[in-house]
Amino acid sequence: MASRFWTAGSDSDEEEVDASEEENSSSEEESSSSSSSSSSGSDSSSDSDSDSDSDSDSDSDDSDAPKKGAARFLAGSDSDSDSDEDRRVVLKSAKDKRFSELTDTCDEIRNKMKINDWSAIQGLFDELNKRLERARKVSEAVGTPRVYVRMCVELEDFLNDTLANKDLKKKMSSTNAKALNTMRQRLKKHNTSDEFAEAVTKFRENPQEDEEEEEEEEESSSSSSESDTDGEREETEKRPAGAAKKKDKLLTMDSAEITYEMVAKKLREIVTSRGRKGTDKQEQVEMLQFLANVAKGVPQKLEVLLQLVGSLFDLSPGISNYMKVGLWKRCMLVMLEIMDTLQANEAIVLDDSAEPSEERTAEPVAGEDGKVRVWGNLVAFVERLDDEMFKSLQVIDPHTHEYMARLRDEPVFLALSQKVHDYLARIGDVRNQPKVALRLIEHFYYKTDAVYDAMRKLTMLQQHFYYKTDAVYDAMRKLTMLQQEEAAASAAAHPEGAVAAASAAAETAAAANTSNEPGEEQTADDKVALPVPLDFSMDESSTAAMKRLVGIVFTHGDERAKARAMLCTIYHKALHGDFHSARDMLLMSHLQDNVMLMDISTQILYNRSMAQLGLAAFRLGLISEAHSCLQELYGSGHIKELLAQGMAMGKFQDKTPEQELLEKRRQMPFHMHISMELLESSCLISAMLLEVPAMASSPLSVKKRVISKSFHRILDTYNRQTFTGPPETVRDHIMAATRALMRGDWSGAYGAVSALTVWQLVPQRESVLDMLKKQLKEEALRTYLFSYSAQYRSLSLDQLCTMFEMDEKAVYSIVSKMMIAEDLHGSWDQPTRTIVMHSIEATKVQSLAGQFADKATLMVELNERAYAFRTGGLRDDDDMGGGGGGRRGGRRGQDGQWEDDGGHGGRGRGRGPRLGAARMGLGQGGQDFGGHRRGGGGGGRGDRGGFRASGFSSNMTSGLPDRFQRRGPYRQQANPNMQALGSISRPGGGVGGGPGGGSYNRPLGGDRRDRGL
Amino acid sequence: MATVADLLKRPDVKETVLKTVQLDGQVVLKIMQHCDGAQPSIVTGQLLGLDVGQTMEVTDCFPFPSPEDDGDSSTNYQLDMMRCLREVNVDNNTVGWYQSSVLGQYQTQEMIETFISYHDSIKKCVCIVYDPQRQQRGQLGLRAIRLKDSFIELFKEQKLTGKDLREAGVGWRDVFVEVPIKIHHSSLAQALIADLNPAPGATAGDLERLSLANAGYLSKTMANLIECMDDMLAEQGKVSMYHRNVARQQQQMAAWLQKRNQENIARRAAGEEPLPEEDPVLFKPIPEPSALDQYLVTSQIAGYCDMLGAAAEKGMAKMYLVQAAQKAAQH
Repeated sequence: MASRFWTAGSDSDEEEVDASEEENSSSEEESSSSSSSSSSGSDSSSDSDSDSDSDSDSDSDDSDAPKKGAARFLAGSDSDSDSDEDRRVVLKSAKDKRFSELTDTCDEIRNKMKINDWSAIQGLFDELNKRLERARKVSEAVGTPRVYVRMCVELEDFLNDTLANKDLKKKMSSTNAKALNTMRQRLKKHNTSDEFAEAVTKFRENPQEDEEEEEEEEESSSSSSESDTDGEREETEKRPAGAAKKKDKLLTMDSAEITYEMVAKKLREIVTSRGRKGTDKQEQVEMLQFLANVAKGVPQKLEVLLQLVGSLFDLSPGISNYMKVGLWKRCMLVMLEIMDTLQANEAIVLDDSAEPSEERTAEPVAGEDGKVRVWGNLVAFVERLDDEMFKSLQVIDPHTHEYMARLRDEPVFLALSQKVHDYLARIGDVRNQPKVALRLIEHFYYKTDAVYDAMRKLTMLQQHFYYKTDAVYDAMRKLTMLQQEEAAASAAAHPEGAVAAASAAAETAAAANTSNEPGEEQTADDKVALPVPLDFSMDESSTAAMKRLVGIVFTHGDERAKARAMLCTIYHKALHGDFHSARDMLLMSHLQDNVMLMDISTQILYNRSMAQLGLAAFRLGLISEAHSCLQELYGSGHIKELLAQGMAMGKFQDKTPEQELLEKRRQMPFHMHISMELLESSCLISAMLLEVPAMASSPLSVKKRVISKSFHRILDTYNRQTFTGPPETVRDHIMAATRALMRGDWSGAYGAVSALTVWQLVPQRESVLDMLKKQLKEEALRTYLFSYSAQYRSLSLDQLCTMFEMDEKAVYSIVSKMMIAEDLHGSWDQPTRTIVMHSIEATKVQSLAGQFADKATLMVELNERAYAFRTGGLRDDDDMGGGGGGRRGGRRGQDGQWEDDGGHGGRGRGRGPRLGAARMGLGQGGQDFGGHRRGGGGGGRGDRGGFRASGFSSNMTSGLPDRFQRRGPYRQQANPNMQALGSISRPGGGVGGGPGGGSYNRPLGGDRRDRGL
Repeated sequence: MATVADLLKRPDVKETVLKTVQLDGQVVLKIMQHCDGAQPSIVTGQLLGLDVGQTMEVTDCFPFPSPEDDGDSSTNYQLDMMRCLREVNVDNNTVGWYQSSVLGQYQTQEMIETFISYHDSIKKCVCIVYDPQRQQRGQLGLRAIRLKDSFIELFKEQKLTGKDLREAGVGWRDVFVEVPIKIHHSSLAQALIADLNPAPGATAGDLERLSLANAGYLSKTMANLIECMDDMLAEQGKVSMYHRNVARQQQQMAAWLQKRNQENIARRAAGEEPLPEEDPVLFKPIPEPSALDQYLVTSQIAGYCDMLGAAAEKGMAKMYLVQAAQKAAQH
């Protein structure tokens, strides 16, 4: 309400604010209790109009209003009928409408009175009563409107006059006389009723009757002067509640007269009333804004501003809704102002450990170190703003312009965060600095170069636009036009940042356009112009920015911040195609080990990084890596939830509304999404490339080694279809490709795969497709040889080359590899350039014997487990983990792949010797790393640990096939050489130390097989 | 466990323990004829004879009609047959039964049950298992089998869990006992055989025995072995599941006890009556799986292994022979 004073009382504003106010009570208060306002009115008598309104302020302390009610207005003078009149034009609220109706009716009655038309008066009086009822309903006021009471009195008087005047009475028509009589009776009854009797008598007692508008001024001033003393008394009586009244005084005071103390007191009052019930937040904000203008000295201003930010946050409703954009922008503005102030005054230090509400009466002096400490927590504000922005992006429909517009606010936020960050760096607050840095990182990490550049351009453009540095601006604009197209192109080419880039591009365009027609933007209330500070500039490349910020987090951040920063870096690196260093970071940080213990949003980030890592691997043609990265995400069937990119519409889930709400709150905004289709196709293509040759190599094998379960599932459903139409979905395409690939038809497979639309989302699309083609050829060749080699006596190299359009060398190397791995039973015949097949099909008995051996191994392992369970008292799951891991390791070992569940085994720490011995006794290799990590494990374990580690070190260079899914191995991976050394130099047992060296170069698989058989 | 059980195996002190089964020549021929003729279905018949001290003399036998032949008369058939045989003065004392088997599969639960039911009336009943294929491969396809007494006792008490068997010292080898077979001919028959004067074996051109083609047999046995292995794994799974369940239950029990203890402490402190510390309803003991199947499967596996071993042994010998023969031929 105070806004009326200094924001020139916009009507809409008033309407909102006055919602709880009753017209007449406001005017009552004017007379009786709005002491301070009227006193201030007397102070600045020049603006009498505002004075008459100022009453409304005072009814914010509504504890008073209802009590006094009717009594109050009777006591005071009243200027309302006229003020009502001139107000009714503007007022629009329901209550005000009622009142204007009321007054209208009164006026009409008066008119009728003049012509002595009693029948009309009678009707009007009925109407008046009806309207009174309605007005009461709306306003819910206790008292009777004064207008009404006055009307009643007037009517009574007029009636008595008319009755007294016999001539007049006689002259009247019969209907009129009749009406007069009824009117008399009714009025009598009416005015003597309980409800009105008092009011009427009081009204009569009060001799004052306002008839002219002009009187109002005098009256109000007079009444105010009279109630002035009253008000002062009141103020002294109840100071804490008198906030509103004093505020008014302050507001109307000349800013020169306001002292530091006054402002400080005011501020304290606001602070204490904050959060209390019945406090008008809006009003507080306005008050604070005013205070900020009149504050004495920079520190005080800061205090006020900080408080203002807090109050602005209070205005937004709850945590479930997002802050209104306009409000957010206002917050941003205030924050920027704070930052500017801080920048300008280096002596001031914001510190949330400083005493917040000191009783200060004078401007604080600098401390001994020349610093002035002001209480405040910028970081919390920044985080809140970030959260609010995130929330709004979650809620806003990503396909609207609103979303784009919201994204355009990002540069400003970045600028603010950067400023806060710099400020924190300046004052050396290493505790909070990483928090802001992390926020910044989280704004950068998902941006591709194109998006980042677009954002950067946008920043510059906004700066130049708002600050009208035209010379540069024109140049910039031209540049942007070019960039815009580029950005648009790259946006189209990039999935994750597509929206962001598009929006950035659109924004640059918009900014360019708005410069032609300025003013358009600022019209709406919502659009608070939010300039990007001039002194902000984004780093040249996102990589540089990331590096700088991540460094800070790593030096000073806490565990969670470090983990998040690490994940962001991994994501960022993966996004930029640097798979290997991203992978190394992931492995060295051991994030897999404890990601399950982290909070959900970090887990989501982890999943996102993993997905991005998989995509990066895929782009580079590292198929098995890509597969192991993506499979777990994709195979879970909850990929949407895992990446927080939409709610799963599961049939079997019944989530409570709370869970659903929580999940909703976790969702990623659209511009940060990773394209699901791309993920799906990458994952399925990787699976296809791995799975098809594997299936071909052992078509009838009993122990089917399933690489990707989800792939098999899809393939099975696809094969069961009665009719297969042309491919439509991603799955269809890939299944069609799979079919072709199974026949060794690489071109068909390539045709199906390259027809996918998702490739448009991949930057370097050509290279990816080339890679795919190459991979498909190789796998097709392998599949072909697996499937049909039995049908050949010999195969010419040239023929293979033409069939698969590969060069000799490639074919030669693939075929040779297969021969070495004993996948292909044949040999090269160099002179004729052919492969001569040796059909050494295993006889039935042999293959059966092989199967039997497998079964026997399995059984022995199970036995071993059971034995360990009985004797060692191992925990059940440990044991299973170890055993299971061993078994799987064994299987894979045969293909030169390996896998390790050391993590599980490792948990059985301290029971090493016994278990080790037990396993040895059974002649069974304990394959887990447990012994390794246990240090003092049994001799037998040492042995195996040693060669196991050698497996790692030898595999270091060849990439990491399966490790992404396991959590255990990374520890090992991180430092394989240490492990190996450890096993050699371990003093444990003669058996342990000895064979360590010898077993180093033994292939893992072979060894396992020996044991197994 | 098996080895332990072996060590613990006491020599049978009973005087009447069965040492040999003496089969009359005609019984062998009859069994062979019946079983070979009925291949590949499995047929059974009754053994008749006399229990003489440590020897079980089987002097005659007759086949049971196969179930699909005639359903309702089969029950009466045995009695009628016995009556007829008694009328012609044949031993009509049932001493057991014979049955054919495929590739040495006989260790089944039904077998044991039949044994038990016979055992009620005939303490020393035997079962002659005849394996036609084995016979065809030149090995004696007959084996006389009976259940070990200690096992019978356990079975009757249905104490068949691993724990019970272990405590009784019964290993898987102690379920079935093979009894040596002695073939007995009447003097007349022996005279006849002597009179027939067959050509000496080596010169008879018995080339059947030199056949190298035993792959089918091997693979069949192997496949059976694998099947057994699967059964074994299933059994193993049952046991480990049992152990896991027990462990879990114990954990729960411990947790419950602890909770109850605390509760009781609290109650005692509050001066109330402590709750009982046992709750039998909540934790029913989990029944231990029967170990019988394991035993049967194991002994089956052992049987297969023996067969494979024997076959392989012979095969090897023949291979060497062939190799030598080829070398000789080359020179």
